[in-house]
Amino acid sequence: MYTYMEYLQKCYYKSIGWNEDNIYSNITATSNALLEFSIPNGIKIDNSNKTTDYSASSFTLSNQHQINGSLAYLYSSIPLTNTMGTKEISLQDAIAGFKIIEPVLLVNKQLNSNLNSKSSSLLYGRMYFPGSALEAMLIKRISENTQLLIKCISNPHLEKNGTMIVYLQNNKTKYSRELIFSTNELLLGVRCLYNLGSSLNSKINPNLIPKFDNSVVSIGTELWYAARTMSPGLSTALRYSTRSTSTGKPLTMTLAINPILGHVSSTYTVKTSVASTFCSKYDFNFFSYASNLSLGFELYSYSRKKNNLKSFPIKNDLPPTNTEILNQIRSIDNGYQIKPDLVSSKTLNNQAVTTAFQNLVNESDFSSVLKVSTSLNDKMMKLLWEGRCKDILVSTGVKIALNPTTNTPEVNRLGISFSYAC
Amino acid sequence: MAKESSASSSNSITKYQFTLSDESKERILKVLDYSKTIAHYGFIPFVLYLGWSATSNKPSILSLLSPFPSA
Repeated sequence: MYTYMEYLQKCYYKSIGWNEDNIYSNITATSNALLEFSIPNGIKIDNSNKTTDYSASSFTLSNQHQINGSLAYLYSSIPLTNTMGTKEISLQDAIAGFKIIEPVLLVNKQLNSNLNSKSSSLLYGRMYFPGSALEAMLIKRISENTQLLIKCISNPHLEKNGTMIVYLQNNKTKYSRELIFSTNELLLGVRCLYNLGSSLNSKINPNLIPKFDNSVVSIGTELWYAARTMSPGLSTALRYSTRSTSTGKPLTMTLAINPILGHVSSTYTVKTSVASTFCSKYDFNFFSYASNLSLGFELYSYSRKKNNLKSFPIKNDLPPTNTEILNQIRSIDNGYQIKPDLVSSKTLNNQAVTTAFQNLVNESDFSSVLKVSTSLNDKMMKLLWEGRCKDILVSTGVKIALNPTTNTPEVNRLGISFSYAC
Repeated sequence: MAKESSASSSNSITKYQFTLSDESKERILKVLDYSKTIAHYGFIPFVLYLGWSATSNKPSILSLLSPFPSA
Protein backbone atom coordinates (compact mmCIF):
# COMPACT_ATOMS: atom_id res chain seq x y z
CA MET A 1 0.00 0.00 0.00
CA TYR A 2 1.26 3.47 -0.81
CA THR A 3 1.71 5.82 2.11
CA TYR A 4 -0.42 8.97 1.92
CA MET A 5 2.63 11.04 0.98
CA GLU A 6 3.49 8.66 -1.87
CA TYR A 7 -0.11 8.88 -3.00
CA LEU A 8 0.05 12.69 -2.99
CA GLN A 9 3.25 12.55 -5.02
CA LYS A 10 1.45 10.40 -7.59
CA CYS A 11 -1.45 12.88 -7.65
CA TYR A 12 1.05 15.68 -8.19
CA TYR A 13 2.63 13.82 -11.12
CA LYS A 14 -0.82 13.20 -12.56
CA SER A 15 -1.82 16.84 -12.33
CA ILE A 16 1.33 18.07 -14.08
CA GLY A 17 1.09 15.33 -16.72
CA TRP A 18 4.31 13.56 -15.78
CA ASN A 19 4.31 10.00 -17.07
CA GLU A 20 5.97 7.79 -14.47
CA ASP A 21 5.72 4.67 -16.64
CA ASN A 22 8.18 6.28 -19.03
CA ILE A 23 11.01 6.21 -16.46
CA TYR A 24 13.51 3.35 -16.68
CA SER A 25 13.36 2.43 -13.00
CA ASN A 26 9.60 1.78 -13.33
CA ILE A 27 9.96 -0.64 -16.25
CA THR A 28 9.33 -3.63 -13.97
CA ALA A 29 6.87 -1.82 -11.68
CA THR A 30 4.00 -4.22 -12.40
CA SER A 31 5.88 -7.43 -11.61
CA ASN A 32 7.48 -5.81 -8.57
CA ALA A 33 4.04 -4.88 -7.24
CA LEU A 34 2.88 -8.48 -7.62
CA LEU A 35 5.97 -10.34 -6.45
CA GLU A 36 8.16 -8.02 -4.42
CA PHE A 37 5.48 -6.37 -2.26
CA SER A 38 6.50 -5.59 1.29
CA ILE A 39 4.86 -7.10 4.35
CA PRO A 40 4.30 -4.82 7.35
CA ASN A 41 6.41 -5.69 10.37
CA GLY A 42 4.79 -5.20 13.77
CA ILE A 43 2.02 -2.71 14.31
CA LYS A 44 2.00 0.57 12.42
CA ILE A 45 -0.47 3.41 12.60
CA ASP A 46 -0.50 6.16 10.02
CA ASN A 47 -2.67 9.23 10.31
CA SER A 48 -2.60 11.85 7.57
CA ASN A 49 -4.42 15.04 6.88
CA LYS A 50 -4.50 17.29 3.86
CA THR A 51 -4.60 20.64 5.64
CA THR A 52 -5.01 22.76 2.54
CA ASP A 53 -4.79 22.14 -1.20
CA TYR A 54 -1.11 23.04 -1.01
CA SER A 55 0.04 21.26 2.12
CA ALA A 56 -0.43 17.98 3.94
CA SER A 57 0.84 16.41 7.11
CA SER A 58 1.25 12.86 8.31
CA PHE A 59 2.01 11.17 11.61
CA THR A 60 3.24 7.59 11.94
CA LEU A 61 3.70 5.37 14.97
CA SER A 62 5.21 1.90 14.85
CA ASN A 63 6.59 -0.63 17.31
CA GLN A 64 9.58 -2.06 15.52
CA HIS A 65 11.91 -3.12 18.38
CA GLN A 66 10.83 -0.02 20.28
CA ILE A 67 8.09 2.54 19.81
CA ASN A 68 9.13 5.03 17.20
CA GLY A 69 7.36 7.53 15.06
CA SER A 70 7.72 10.10 12.35
CA LEU A 71 6.18 13.39 11.34
CA ALA A 72 5.95 14.35 7.68
CA TYR A 73 4.97 17.52 5.87
CA LEU A 74 4.44 18.14 2.20
CA TYR A 75 4.09 21.26 0.12
CA SER A 76 3.03 21.50 -3.50
CA SER A 77 3.10 24.73 -5.48
CA ILE A 78 0.08 23.64 -7.52
CA PRO A 79 -3.19 22.84 -5.74
CA LEU A 80 -3.70 19.09 -5.31
CA THR A 81 -7.43 18.92 -5.90
CA ASN A 82 -7.53 15.42 -7.37
CA THR A 83 -6.81 13.62 -4.08
CA MET A 84 -9.11 11.53 -1.93
CA GLY A 85 -9.07 10.41 1.68
CA THR A 86 -9.03 6.76 2.74
CA LYS A 87 -12.83 6.82 2.99
CA GLU A 88 -13.53 7.23 -0.71
CA ILE A 89 -10.23 6.36 -2.43
CA SER A 90 -10.43 3.46 -4.86
CA LEU A 91 -8.18 0.56 -3.91
CA GLN A 92 -6.63 0.56 -7.39
CA ASP A 93 -5.16 4.00 -6.62
CA ALA A 94 -4.10 3.20 -3.06
CA ILE A 95 -2.34 -0.08 -3.76
CA ALA A 96 0.43 -0.82 -6.23
CA GLY A 97 -0.86 -3.36 -8.73
CA PHE A 98 -1.12 -3.94 -12.45
CA LYS A 99 -0.18 -0.81 -14.38
CA ILE A 100 -1.82 -0.42 -17.75
CA ILE A 101 0.75 1.18 -20.03
CA GLU A 102 -0.90 3.83 -22.16
CA PRO A 103 0.00 4.12 -25.85
CA VAL A 104 2.05 7.17 -26.85
CA LEU A 105 -0.86 9.18 -28.23
CA LEU A 106 -2.92 9.18 -25.06
CA VAL A 107 0.01 10.30 -22.96
CA ASN A 108 0.84 13.02 -25.45
CA LYS A 109 -2.66 14.43 -25.18
CA GLN A 110 -2.45 14.43 -21.41
CA LEU A 111 0.85 16.30 -21.44
CA ASN A 112 -0.38 18.95 -23.82
CA SER A 113 -3.35 19.75 -21.65
CA ASN A 114 -1.11 20.59 -18.70
CA LEU A 115 1.29 23.09 -20.15
CA ASN A 116 0.27 25.75 -17.65
CA SER A 117 2.01 24.01 -14.74
CA LYS A 118 5.48 24.53 -16.19
CA SER A 119 7.45 25.55 -13.13
CA SER A 120 5.83 23.71 -10.29
CA SER A 121 7.57 22.24 -7.30
CA LEU A 122 6.94 19.77 -4.51
CA LEU A 123 8.76 19.65 -1.19
CA TYR A 124 8.51 16.86 1.32
CA GLY A 125 10.17 16.40 4.67
CA ARG A 126 9.89 13.63 7.23
CA MET A 127 11.54 13.55 10.62
CA TYR A 128 11.92 10.30 12.54
CA PHE A 129 11.83 10.01 16.31
CA PRO A 130 13.80 9.13 18.33
CA GLY A 131 17.08 10.07 16.66
CA SER A 132 15.76 12.98 14.60
CA ALA A 133 16.81 11.61 11.22
CA LEU A 134 15.52 13.70 8.33
CA GLU A 135 14.25 12.44 5.02
CA ALA A 136 13.82 15.21 2.48
CA MET A 137 12.69 15.34 -1.12
CA LEU A 138 12.44 18.15 -3.61
CA ILE A 139 10.87 17.99 -7.05
CA LYS A 140 11.38 21.05 -9.19
CA ARG A 141 10.05 21.29 -12.70
CA ILE A 142 12.56 23.12 -14.89
CA SER A 143 10.75 23.05 -18.20
CA GLU A 144 7.77 21.31 -19.76
CA ASN A 145 9.57 17.95 -19.97
CA THR A 146 12.42 18.34 -17.52
CA GLN A 147 12.49 18.08 -13.77
CA LEU A 148 15.04 18.00 -11.00
CA LEU A 149 14.51 15.48 -8.22
CA ILE A 150 16.63 15.58 -5.08
CA LYS A 151 16.31 13.00 -2.33
CA CYS A 152 18.28 13.28 0.84
CA ILE A 153 18.72 11.52 4.16
CA SER A 154 20.33 13.47 6.94
CA ASN A 155 21.20 11.73 10.16
CA PRO A 156 23.94 12.88 12.54
CA HIS A 157 24.57 9.26 13.52
CA LEU A 158 25.26 8.13 9.98
CA GLU A 159 28.65 8.21 8.32
CA LYS A 160 29.14 11.61 6.59
CA ASN A 161 25.81 12.77 8.03
CA GLY A 162 23.73 10.86 5.51
CA THR A 163 23.42 10.69 1.77
CA MET A 164 21.98 12.64 -1.12
CA ILE A 165 20.88 11.63 -4.60
CA VAL A 166 20.14 14.04 -7.44
CA TYR A 167 18.18 13.13 -10.58
CA LEU A 168 17.88 15.33 -13.63
CA GLN A 169 15.06 13.81 -15.64
CA ASN A 170 13.92 14.57 -19.15
CA ASN A 171 10.68 12.80 -20.00
CA LYS A 172 9.22 13.01 -23.49
CA THR A 173 6.56 10.86 -25.06
CA LYS A 174 9.04 9.14 -27.35
CA TYR A 175 11.92 8.74 -24.89
CA SER A 176 13.13 9.64 -21.44
CA ARG A 177 16.64 10.41 -20.20
CA GLU A 178 18.03 10.69 -16.69
CA LEU A 179 21.29 11.85 -15.19
CA ILE A 180 21.87 10.69 -11.64
CA PHE A 181 24.45 11.61 -9.05
CA SER A 182 24.68 10.17 -5.58
CA THR A 183 27.07 11.25 -2.83
CA ASN A 184 27.21 7.64 -1.69
CA GLU A 185 30.37 6.20 -3.36
CA LEU A 186 30.23 9.25 -5.72
CA LEU A 187 27.92 7.30 -7.97
CA LEU A 188 27.22 8.64 -11.45
CA GLY A 189 24.50 7.21 -13.60
CA VAL A 190 22.79 7.63 -16.95
CA ARG A 191 19.46 6.03 -17.73
CA CYS A 192 17.39 6.18 -20.87
CA LEU A 193 14.24 4.61 -22.17
CA TYR A 194 12.99 4.65 -25.73
CA ASN A 195 9.51 3.80 -26.97
CA LEU A 196 9.75 1.91 -30.23
CA GLY A 197 7.35 2.30 -33.12
CA SER A 198 6.30 5.14 -35.33
CA SER A 199 5.83 8.41 -33.53
CA LEU A 200 2.21 9.33 -33.31
CA ASN A 201 1.52 12.95 -33.87
CA SER A 202 -1.15 14.47 -31.68
CA LYS A 203 -2.54 16.23 -34.75
CA ILE A 204 -3.68 12.91 -36.21
CA ASN A 205 -7.30 12.12 -35.58
CA PRO A 206 -7.35 9.30 -32.95
CA ASN A 207 -10.06 7.52 -34.96
CA LEU A 208 -7.67 7.00 -37.88
CA ILE A 209 -5.22 4.95 -35.83
CA PRO A 210 -5.69 1.19 -36.24
CA LYS A 211 -7.90 -0.15 -33.50
CA PHE A 212 -5.59 -3.04 -32.63
CA ASP A 213 -2.55 -0.78 -32.27
CA ASN A 214 -2.61 -0.31 -28.53
CA SER A 215 0.66 -2.02 -27.70
CA VAL A 216 3.78 -0.31 -26.40
CA VAL A 217 7.34 -1.57 -26.80
CA SER A 218 9.90 0.19 -24.63
CA ILE A 219 13.60 -0.48 -24.49
CA GLY A 220 15.87 1.03 -21.90
CA THR A 221 19.33 0.91 -20.46
CA GLU A 222 21.28 2.25 -17.51
CA LEU A 223 24.99 2.87 -17.00
CA TRP A 224 26.58 3.43 -13.60
CA TYR A 225 30.02 4.39 -12.48
CA ALA A 226 31.11 4.60 -8.87
CA ALA A 227 33.97 7.09 -8.87
CA ARG A 228 35.29 6.17 -5.42
CA THR A 229 35.58 2.43 -5.99
CA MET A 230 35.98 2.77 -9.79
CA SER A 231 33.38 0.06 -10.36
CA PRO A 232 31.00 0.17 -13.31
CA GLY A 233 27.42 -1.09 -13.58
CA LEU A 234 25.15 -1.76 -16.52
CA SER A 235 21.73 -3.18 -17.21
CA THR A 236 19.29 -3.15 -20.04
CA ALA A 237 15.59 -3.99 -20.22
CA LEU A 238 12.73 -4.43 -22.65
CA ARG A 239 9.04 -4.08 -21.92
CA TYR A 240 6.21 -5.13 -24.18
CA SER A 241 2.75 -4.16 -23.11
CA THR A 242 -0.35 -4.92 -25.11
CA ARG A 243 -4.03 -5.78 -24.86
CA SER A 244 -5.80 -8.84 -26.09
CA THR A 245 -7.82 -7.81 -29.13
CA SER A 246 -10.70 -10.13 -28.34
CA THR A 247 -11.16 -9.59 -24.62
CA GLY A 248 -9.31 -6.32 -24.05
CA LYS A 249 -7.30 -7.82 -21.20
CA PRO A 250 -3.92 -6.14 -20.80
CA LEU A 251 -0.67 -8.05 -20.47
CA THR A 252 2.92 -6.96 -19.91
CA MET A 253 6.15 -8.80 -20.59
CA THR A 254 9.58 -7.63 -19.51
CA LEU A 255 13.08 -8.88 -20.04
CA ALA A 256 15.93 -7.40 -18.02
CA ILE A 257 19.59 -8.30 -18.52
CA ASN A 258 22.63 -7.42 -16.48
CA PRO A 259 25.66 -8.58 -18.52
CA ILE A 260 28.20 -7.75 -15.80
CA LEU A 261 26.55 -9.99 -13.21
CA GLY A 262 25.25 -12.38 -15.85
CA HIS A 263 21.68 -12.05 -14.68
CA VAL A 264 18.63 -12.45 -16.89
CA SER A 265 15.14 -11.84 -15.54
CA SER A 266 11.96 -12.29 -17.53
CA THR A 267 8.45 -11.58 -16.33
CA TYR A 268 5.00 -12.16 -17.72
CA THR A 269 2.01 -10.47 -16.14
CA VAL A 270 -1.56 -10.74 -17.33
CA LYS A 271 -4.73 -9.29 -15.98
CA THR A 272 -6.82 -12.44 -16.19
CA SER A 273 -10.07 -10.71 -15.25
CA VAL A 274 -11.26 -7.40 -13.89
CA ALA A 275 -10.53 -8.54 -10.34
CA SER A 276 -7.48 -10.73 -10.76
CA THR A 277 -3.91 -10.55 -12.03
CA PHE A 278 -1.34 -13.28 -12.42
CA CYS A 279 2.40 -12.81 -12.64
CA SER A 280 5.34 -15.10 -13.22
CA LYS A 281 9.03 -14.34 -13.18
CA TYR A 282 11.99 -16.44 -14.15
CA ASP A 283 15.49 -15.45 -13.08
CA PHE A 284 18.60 -17.05 -14.50
CA ASN A 285 22.28 -16.43 -14.03
CA PHE A 286 24.46 -17.61 -16.89
CA PHE A 287 27.64 -17.50 -14.82
CA SER A 288 26.46 -19.68 -11.95
CA TYR A 289 23.52 -21.42 -13.70
CA ALA A 290 21.38 -20.59 -10.68
CA SER A 291 17.74 -20.07 -11.49
CA ASN A 292 14.57 -19.09 -9.69
CA LEU A 293 10.91 -19.15 -10.55
CA SER A 294 8.55 -16.77 -8.76
CA LEU A 295 4.81 -16.77 -9.05
CA GLY A 296 2.30 -14.33 -7.71
CA PHE A 297 -1.28 -13.26 -8.04
CA GLU A 298 -3.68 -10.71 -6.69
CA LEU A 299 -7.40 -11.13 -6.22
CA TYR A 300 -9.71 -8.22 -5.63
CA SER A 301 -13.05 -8.70 -3.98
CA TYR A 302 -15.98 -6.46 -4.77
CA SER A 303 -17.52 -4.18 -2.23
CA ARG A 304 -20.90 -5.36 -0.96
CA LYS A 305 -22.57 -2.03 -1.72
CA LYS A 306 -24.70 -2.92 -4.71
CA ASN A 307 -25.98 0.60 -5.36
CA ASN A 308 -22.54 1.67 -6.56
CA LEU A 309 -22.63 -0.75 -9.47
CA LYS A 310 -25.52 1.09 -11.04
CA SER A 311 -23.28 4.01 -11.89
CA PHE A 312 -21.29 1.97 -14.43
CA PRO A 313 -22.93 2.11 -17.81
CA ILE A 314 -20.19 -0.08 -19.26
CA LYS A 315 -20.95 -2.86 -16.84
CA ASN A 316 -24.23 -3.51 -18.61
CA ASP A 317 -22.63 -3.45 -22.06
CA LEU A 318 -19.72 -5.77 -21.46
CA PRO A 319 -21.29 -9.15 -20.75
CA PRO A 320 -23.03 -9.42 -24.15
CA THR A 321 -19.84 -8.48 -26.06
CA ASN A 322 -17.90 -10.98 -24.02
CA THR A 323 -20.26 -13.84 -24.67
CA GLU A 324 -20.38 -12.93 -28.32
CA ILE A 325 -16.64 -13.21 -28.57
CA LEU A 326 -16.54 -16.47 -26.69
CA ASN A 327 -19.14 -17.94 -28.98
CA GLN A 328 -17.34 -16.96 -32.15
CA ILE A 329 -15.69 -20.31 -32.14
CA ARG A 330 -18.17 -23.14 -31.87
CA SER A 331 -17.52 -26.82 -31.91
CA ILE A 332 -18.81 -28.79 -34.83
CA ASP A 333 -18.23 -32.56 -34.88
CA ASN A 334 -14.94 -32.74 -32.98
CA GLY A 335 -13.64 -29.67 -34.83
CA TYR A 336 -13.96 -25.96 -34.43
CA GLN A 337 -15.29 -23.49 -36.90
CA ILE A 338 -15.40 -19.74 -36.68
CA LYS A 339 -18.87 -18.28 -37.01
CA PRO A 340 -18.56 -16.09 -40.11
CA ASP A 341 -21.37 -13.72 -39.13
CA LEU A 342 -19.58 -12.71 -35.95
CA VAL A 343 -16.10 -12.04 -37.30
CA SER A 344 -16.94 -8.67 -38.79
CA SER A 345 -18.56 -7.50 -35.60
CA LYS A 346 -15.39 -8.45 -33.71
CA THR A 347 -13.22 -5.87 -35.45
CA LEU A 348 -15.80 -3.22 -34.76
CA ASN A 349 -15.90 -4.15 -31.13
CA ASN A 350 -12.12 -4.26 -30.61
CA GLN A 351 -11.70 -0.72 -29.42
CA ALA A 352 -14.92 -0.82 -27.47
CA VAL A 353 -13.84 -4.00 -25.70
CA THR A 354 -10.40 -2.67 -24.70
CA THR A 355 -11.74 0.62 -23.42
CA ALA A 356 -14.68 -1.10 -21.75
CA PHE A 357 -12.34 -3.47 -19.93
CA GLN A 358 -10.10 -0.62 -18.81
CA ASN A 359 -13.05 1.46 -17.65
CA LEU A 360 -14.43 -1.50 -15.79
CA VAL A 361 -11.09 -1.99 -14.01
CA ASN A 362 -10.84 1.70 -13.16
CA GLU A 363 -14.40 2.12 -11.95
CA SER A 364 -15.02 -1.13 -10.11
CA ASP A 365 -15.60 -0.66 -6.42
CA PHE A 366 -13.35 -3.11 -4.60
CA SER A 367 -13.29 -3.58 -0.85
CA SER A 368 -10.16 -5.66 -0.42
CA VAL A 369 -7.31 -7.37 -2.21
CA LEU A 370 -5.43 -10.56 -1.45
CA LYS A 371 -1.88 -10.85 -2.72
CA VAL A 372 0.04 -14.09 -2.72
CA SER A 373 3.57 -14.58 -3.95
CA THR A 374 5.94 -17.49 -3.78
CA SER A 375 9.47 -18.18 -4.89
CA LEU A 376 10.67 -21.73 -5.50
CA ASN A 377 14.39 -21.24 -4.92
CA ASP A 378 14.02 -19.02 -1.86
CA LYS A 379 11.41 -21.43 -0.47
CA MET A 380 9.22 -18.69 0.87
CA MET A 381 5.63 -17.58 0.59
CA LYS A 382 4.13 -14.17 1.18
CA LEU A 383 0.50 -13.47 1.94
CA LEU A 384 -0.87 -9.96 2.11
CA TRP A 385 -4.41 -8.75 2.66
CA GLU A 386 -5.24 -5.12 2.14
CA GLY A 387 -8.66 -3.64 2.43
CA ARG A 388 -10.96 -1.06 3.88
CA CYS A 389 -12.51 -1.40 7.34
CA LYS A 390 -14.93 1.47 7.91
CA ASP A 391 -12.86 4.48 6.75
CA ILE A 392 -9.46 2.99 7.56
CA LEU A 393 -7.20 1.16 5.15
CA VAL A 394 -5.82 -1.97 6.77
CA SER A 395 -2.88 -3.96 5.51
CA THR A 396 -1.87 -7.22 7.13
CA GLY A 397 0.43 -9.96 5.99
CA VAL A 398 2.78 -12.76 6.79
CA LYS A 399 5.96 -14.09 5.23
CA ILE A 400 6.70 -17.76 5.76
CA ALA A 401 10.06 -19.20 4.80
CA LEU A 402 11.51 -22.68 5.05
CA ASN A 403 14.44 -22.87 7.42
CA PRO A 404 17.40 -24.14 5.30
CA THR A 405 18.89 -26.29 8.10
CA THR A 406 15.90 -27.78 9.87
CA ASN A 407 13.49 -27.64 6.90
CA THR A 408 10.67 -26.37 9.05
CA PRO A 409 8.51 -23.43 8.06
CA GLU A 410 9.17 -20.27 10.01
CA VAL A 411 7.34 -16.96 10.21
CA ASN A 412 9.81 -14.29 9.07
CA ARG A 413 7.57 -11.25 9.07
CA LEU A 414 4.18 -10.62 10.51
CA GLY A 415 2.42 -7.35 10.92
CA ILE A 416 -0.53 -5.08 10.53
CA SER A 417 -0.76 -1.46 9.53
CA PHE A 418 -3.64 0.98 9.75
CA SER A 419 -3.80 4.17 7.80
CA TYR A 420 -6.31 6.95 7.87
CA ALA A 421 -6.30 10.09 5.76
CA CYS A 422 -8.81 12.81 5.13
CA MET B 1 73.62 29.81 -3.91
CA ALA B 2 71.82 26.56 -3.25
CA LYS B 3 70.11 28.12 -0.26
CA GLU B 4 68.91 31.03 -2.36
CA SER B 5 67.38 28.84 -5.03
CA SER B 6 65.49 26.77 -2.46
CA ALA B 7 64.19 29.95 -0.83
CA SER B 8 63.01 31.34 -4.15
CA SER B 9 61.27 28.07 -5.04
CA SER B 10 59.45 28.03 -1.71
CA ASN B 11 58.44 31.64 -2.35
CA SER B 12 56.99 30.72 -5.75
CA ILE B 13 54.95 27.93 -4.11
CA THR B 14 53.51 30.22 -1.44
CA LYS B 15 52.60 32.71 -4.13
CA TYR B 16 50.02 30.32 -5.58
CA GLN B 17 49.07 28.59 -2.36
CA PHE B 18 46.21 29.83 -0.26
CA THR B 19 47.27 29.09 3.28
CA LEU B 20 44.73 29.10 6.06
CA SER B 21 45.55 29.58 9.67
CA ASP B 22 44.31 26.88 12.03
CA GLU B 23 41.91 29.38 13.52
CA SER B 24 40.15 30.18 10.25
CA LYS B 25 40.09 26.47 9.34
CA GLU B 26 38.27 25.77 12.56
CA ARG B 27 35.93 28.67 11.92
CA ILE B 28 34.99 27.38 8.46
CA LEU B 29 34.38 23.90 9.83
CA LYS B 30 32.18 25.36 12.54
CA VAL B 31 30.17 27.41 10.03
CA LEU B 32 29.69 24.33 7.85
CA ASP B 33 28.59 22.36 10.88
CA TYR B 34 26.09 25.04 11.90
CA SER B 35 24.69 25.33 8.38
CA LYS B 36 24.21 21.56 8.28
CA THR B 37 22.27 21.68 11.55
CA ILE B 38 20.19 24.61 10.33
CA ALA B 39 19.34 22.78 7.09
CA HIS B 40 18.52 19.64 9.08
CA TYR B 41 16.11 21.26 11.52
CA GLY B 42 14.99 24.10 9.28
CA PHE B 43 13.77 22.06 6.33
CA ILE B 44 10.42 21.06 7.82
CA PRO B 45 9.58 24.57 9.09
CA PHE B 46 10.48 25.80 5.58
CA VAL B 47 8.05 23.29 4.00
CA LEU B 48 5.39 24.41 6.48
CA TYR B 49 6.03 28.08 5.72
CA LEU B 50 5.70 27.48 1.96
CA GLY B 51 2.40 25.67 2.56
CA TRP B 52 1.19 28.49 4.76
CA SER B 53 2.16 31.25 2.33
CA ALA B 54 0.65 29.47 -0.69
CA THR B 55 -2.80 29.21 0.87
CA SER B 56 -4.92 32.30 0.40
CA ASN B 57 -6.83 32.15 3.69
CA LYS B 58 -3.63 31.71 5.82
CA PRO B 59 -4.59 28.84 8.13
CA SER B 60 -3.46 28.89 11.75
CA ILE B 61 -0.07 27.35 12.54
CA LEU B 62 -1.69 24.74 14.76
CA SER B 63 -3.93 23.41 12.00
CA LEU B 64 -0.94 23.25 9.65
CA LEU B 65 1.18 21.42 12.21
CA SER B 66 -1.40 18.93 13.36
CA PRO B 67 -1.66 15.74 11.31
CA PHE B 68 -5.06 15.08 12.84
CA PRO B 69 -8.17 16.38 11.11
CA SER B 70 -9.59 19.48 12.75
CA ALA B 71 -13.25 19.19 13.61
